[in-house]
Amino acid sequence: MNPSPQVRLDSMMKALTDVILPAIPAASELAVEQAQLLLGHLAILRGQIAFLGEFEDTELRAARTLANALGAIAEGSRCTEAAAADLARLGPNGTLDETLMALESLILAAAEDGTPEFKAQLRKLVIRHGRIMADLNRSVFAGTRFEVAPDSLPPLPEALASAAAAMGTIA
Amino acid sequence: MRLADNASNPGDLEPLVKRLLSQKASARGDQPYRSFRVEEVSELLRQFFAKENLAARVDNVMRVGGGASKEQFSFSLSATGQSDGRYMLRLDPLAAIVETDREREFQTIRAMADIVPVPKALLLDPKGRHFGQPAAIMTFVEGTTKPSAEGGTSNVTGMGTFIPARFRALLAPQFITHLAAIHAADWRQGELARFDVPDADPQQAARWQANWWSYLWQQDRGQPLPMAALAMVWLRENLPPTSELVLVHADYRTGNYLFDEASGEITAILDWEFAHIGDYHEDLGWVVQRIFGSSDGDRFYVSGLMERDEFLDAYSAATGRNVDPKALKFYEVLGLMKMLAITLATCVKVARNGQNHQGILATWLSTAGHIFTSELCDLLERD
Repeated sequence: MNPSPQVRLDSMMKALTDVILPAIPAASELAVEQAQLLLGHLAILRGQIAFLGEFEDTELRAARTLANALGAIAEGSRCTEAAAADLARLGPNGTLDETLMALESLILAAAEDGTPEFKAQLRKLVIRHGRIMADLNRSVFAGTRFEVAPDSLPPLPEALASAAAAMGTIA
Repeated sequence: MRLADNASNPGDLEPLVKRLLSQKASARGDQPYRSFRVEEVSELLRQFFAKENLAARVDNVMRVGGGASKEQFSFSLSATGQSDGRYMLRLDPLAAIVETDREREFQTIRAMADIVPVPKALLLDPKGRHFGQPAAIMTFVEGTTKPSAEGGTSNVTGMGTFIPARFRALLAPQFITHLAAIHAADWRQGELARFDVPDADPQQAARWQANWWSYLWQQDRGQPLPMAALAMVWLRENLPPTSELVLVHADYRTGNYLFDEASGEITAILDWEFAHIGDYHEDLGWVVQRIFGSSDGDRFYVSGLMERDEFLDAYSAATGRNVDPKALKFYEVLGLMKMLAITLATCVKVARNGQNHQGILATWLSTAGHIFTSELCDLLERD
């Protein structure tokens, strides 16, 4: 039987906590700090690992949903038309990087010569997409404790379900 | 498409920043970086002082933690002909989490010596001719960035520092007084007179900053982010005019000053590497960023010290300046764009390429980028 990723991560964390960290002289500030960060990274990874596939699917689906929505309403002059055409050429099978790149180009092009109506809609939809992805990522990384109220964030399974449910707001 | 290609003032950046970004693009490459060893630094210091004809004995070289972008070592000197004591060597890694200029930092600290408490800037190797990387030597200042008792806590680099009520009462007035003094510094005199001044038109101060952080985002980001593109556009479309140019610290917050725990006196204002001539709202928009604040459950304290309105009112009272809500909002959005560029772009890039001694910290910091995205949504939605 192979040890599961969780068991392997647990054993790494135990080694750090029980043996490695106590062995580092307190005067070695940077070494102590980096060992503590290592422990923190491992703990966060342990919580994420079972959901990584679902997270990546959600991220891609959100980008494609935004691309479809903006592509359908894009209106403007030369720059906007060219960027919208590039987005359309990508079709429904673009990778996450390709889709995000095409979206960035369309947002910058719309600032140049998009119609006011398109720019207003674009802004609304991009903010909705931004909020869905930011909320999800904040739950993913709540363990870093950068949040003012980290305990108020939903656990990762709930955050993924919320993101999936909110996808319709950018369609 | 890149934003700068379309801007009405393409490439309008502070000349020093333009040079740094250009050097970074050409010099960084993909080679990994190995941290300096303590023994190597000891030897480099000994050789350096010998070369400078300073009969100095270097001892007790120790790596110092905490810094997110520079390698830092403390050491003691004796029989230097100058004052003996402990000193600090700040060295650039191959790729920093923030690309700044040691000479600029050095000049600023020297210029501020009689204005606010700062370390004494002693020696500079601006091109890294001796140390291999640009380096500066300063006095070591005693003090702490957070109280060690009474519930004082913080995340890395002083983010989210919680300061207990007794220390808030001691530190908050000094925090305002020192910020007012920095903004009152006469930048037309002495070392500061060498700084570039954004006075070609009233919006140039805002434009230089918007262009800097938008350019950095585009240079370093591995993956585009629609909200970042929207923020870049918003910044370019909402540049506020600057009525009064001041020296901006540009990283003024709890975590970047030291204080004496016994007296509560601020002993040094640190991290001057971003300092430039600009709009005073820039420092205000930075101080109020939520990531630097903390809550006691009932109230939220900007920089862990004061409630937002209390801080802005105290600044106005100390300086006689008005706080313009539109300008403040611009610089809050700029602050978020700056942190987004540092976290989700540069931090990820330097960690991925192994070009910094703090890769593990860089990846840790990068995750805060999603909080900034969320706050950008809040601010831009309210427009």
